[in-house]
Amino acid sequence: MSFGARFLVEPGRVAALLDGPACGGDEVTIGFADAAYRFTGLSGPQAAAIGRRYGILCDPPREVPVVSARVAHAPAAQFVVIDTRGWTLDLDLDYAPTRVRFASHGFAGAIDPASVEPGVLVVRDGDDESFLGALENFFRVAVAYRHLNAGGVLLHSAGLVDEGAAFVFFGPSGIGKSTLTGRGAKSGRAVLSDELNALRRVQGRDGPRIVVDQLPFAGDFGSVGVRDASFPVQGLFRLRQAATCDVTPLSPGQAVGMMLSCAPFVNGDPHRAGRLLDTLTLVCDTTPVRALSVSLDGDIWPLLRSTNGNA
Amino acid sequence: MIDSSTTLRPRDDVRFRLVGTECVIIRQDADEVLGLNEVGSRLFALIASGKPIDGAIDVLVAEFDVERETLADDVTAFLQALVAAGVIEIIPAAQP
Repeated sequence: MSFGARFLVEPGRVAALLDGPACGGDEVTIGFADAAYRFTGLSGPQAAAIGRRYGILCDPPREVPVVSARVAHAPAAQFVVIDTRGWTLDLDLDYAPTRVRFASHGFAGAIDPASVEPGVLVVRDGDDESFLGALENFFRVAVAYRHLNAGGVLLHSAGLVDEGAAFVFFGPSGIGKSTLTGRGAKSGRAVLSDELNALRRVQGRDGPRIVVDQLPFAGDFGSVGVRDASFPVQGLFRLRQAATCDVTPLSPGQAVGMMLSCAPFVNGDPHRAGRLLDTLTLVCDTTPVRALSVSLDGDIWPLLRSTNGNA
Repeated sequence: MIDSSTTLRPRDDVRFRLVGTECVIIRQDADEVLGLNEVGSRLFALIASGKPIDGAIDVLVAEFDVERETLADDVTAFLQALVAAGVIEIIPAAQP
């Protein structure tokens, strides 16, 4: 099936769709994780909705926008009507060397994976209710590529902060990230996100280390967060469900492979696979990645502390 | 069918990196990630560099403590498995 055929009435005319008129003349810049994202072509209500959703992250005082995108609109008749009862978001992605296009229920868009040219998000006329959802999906793709360009990577993961250091637990949907996050929050630990966190390698006084940046994307736990919320990573763990809690080492190859499968959007891009593999290899060279087996009623924190003491 | 003179190559949708002594392989068309152990990684790297199977066996015999005949059987079986898994493909012999 060709790109967009499930979601667009005329998938062959996606270029014209992406060239559609702006929704309005407003713009908003959102800053976090050492970058700023500027959305132009917004209607007044769209800009106000973004302001409410992203709050403190809007209109950062200093950051220069590194990624920009124009928001356009198109007649609703150009989008396939889908019965969304019981439907989970499905993004159709089309990877090319100089652009990545995507389409889904009620929206389509494109980004420049090198973050040089502005991206575009096209939303349905008269569908203000779905606008923020469409924008957030565009935003996630854009942030994933921005981080990859900057030598980092987004991971499907839960991020928790314990005594100033972050623990990142990654794995596929249903593995227990939100459950773990909920327990962590209940025990007083700060939650970064139960869904997506950004890793990057920085040069510290004692050599390179991995830090995690909080992103304004979360499922049941986490929040918009605060600007520049960045924490040193104390542990990176691939989650497993088990009868008892346990930590086991992973070989570098296993660690890279498992992280790769949890790096959304970019891990399907054949043109950026080499960069992603290199980035993950550096992450694994810098900090140990282990498997964490978690039981329904087990307390992982004493185990994590002792494990990292022995790292 | 694979024999010792066959030359293979990674398929177009395959990307890989050697990570330490292991190899991580992405099969993009299938959304699959595969991992190879040390010996498998060394063999895969040799094949990906364009060595024919008998040339790769020569290198492995020199590097690992193994009899050539045993190794040749294992290599052929392993490469057949990689072909079946869609990781590598046979380069057709040039037509006369």
